[in-house]
Amino acid sequence: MAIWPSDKKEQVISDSKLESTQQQAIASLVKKLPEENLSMAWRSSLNERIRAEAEKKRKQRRTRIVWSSSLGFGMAGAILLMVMVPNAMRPTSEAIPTSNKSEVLESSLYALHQESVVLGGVSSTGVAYRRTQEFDNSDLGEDEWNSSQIY
Amino acid sequence: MVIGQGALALNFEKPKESVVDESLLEKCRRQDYEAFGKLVDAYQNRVFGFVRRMVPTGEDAEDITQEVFIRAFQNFHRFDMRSSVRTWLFKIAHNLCVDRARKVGRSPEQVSLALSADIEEEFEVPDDRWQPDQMLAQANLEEAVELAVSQLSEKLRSVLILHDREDMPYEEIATTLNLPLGTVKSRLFLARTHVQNALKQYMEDRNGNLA
Repeated sequence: MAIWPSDKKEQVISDSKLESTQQQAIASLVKKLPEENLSMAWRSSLNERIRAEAEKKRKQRRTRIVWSSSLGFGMAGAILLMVMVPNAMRPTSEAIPTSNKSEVLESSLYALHQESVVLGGVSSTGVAYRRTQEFDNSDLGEDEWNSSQIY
Repeated sequence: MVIGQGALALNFEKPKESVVDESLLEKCRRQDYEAFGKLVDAYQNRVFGFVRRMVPTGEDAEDITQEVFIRAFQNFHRFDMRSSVRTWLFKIAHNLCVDRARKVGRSPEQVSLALSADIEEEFEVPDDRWQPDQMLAQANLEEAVELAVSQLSEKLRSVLILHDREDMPYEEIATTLNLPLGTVKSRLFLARTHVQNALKQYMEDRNGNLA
């Protein structure tokens, strides 16, 4: 597999040189150099560092999840507010008749009340009947009333 | 090569590549602590062997080797599995060694290299009478080879160790060190020739002392 384009001639020359007896002898000597072994202390130190790194990554991942979900909720809330608040604040065409309707209702109720008062005064029982009722509900006994209480 | 009696006990264990399968790598990508431990078991001595020969002290080598695995753990999600995990780990190791060399003021860029065109003029190639088997019998040969390798520039040393010590093919070295294929071969040839000359010198000095 050729990764970079290279001069074919140079490659052939290099290959033949590299396969010479002397070159192979050196290769063999280098290959037989002793393997370097690492201590258990080194390995346990590495394990600690990797464990700390794994814990750090886990925390980062957890924080990222919390933040992204919070951000998502925040964004959703903000969008909702942006949609809802202007609609609530804006006076709509339907809102005005509603207030007129309530005024009409109020005034009609008031008119009805006045009419009933007038009718009550004109009819047979009249104002006197109502006043009598008031006296009936007072704390005074039947014998204890005087004329000043009427007027 | 036949190693005669009295030769140094040179042990070279083949790496346990089979333990690093796709499922293990997939677990490592998911930050599985246990799986990553197995990966470390498979490669720690090999990475350390490379780094140890790239930096001057064993302490530095231990620190860098730890850093290699920490970086690998941190960035495993970036490992695309197009290259082998070995290539990736050695790439991290090499980059960290280069960074360390720059920090201590020995920039690998400043090392002059004679490339393949000048090889034959630059270096004397020993004759065929030179026999590595005889040299193996010498008690201090191992140290001599280590010394010769340590005297190489970082650029030559990295190629030599990756190819001759780690059995990496040329293409993988090219990917690891981000070099053209031809440069890898040229550097390998130069490195071996330097070591050969250093050992020849060592033998001559030794024979002179014995005489």
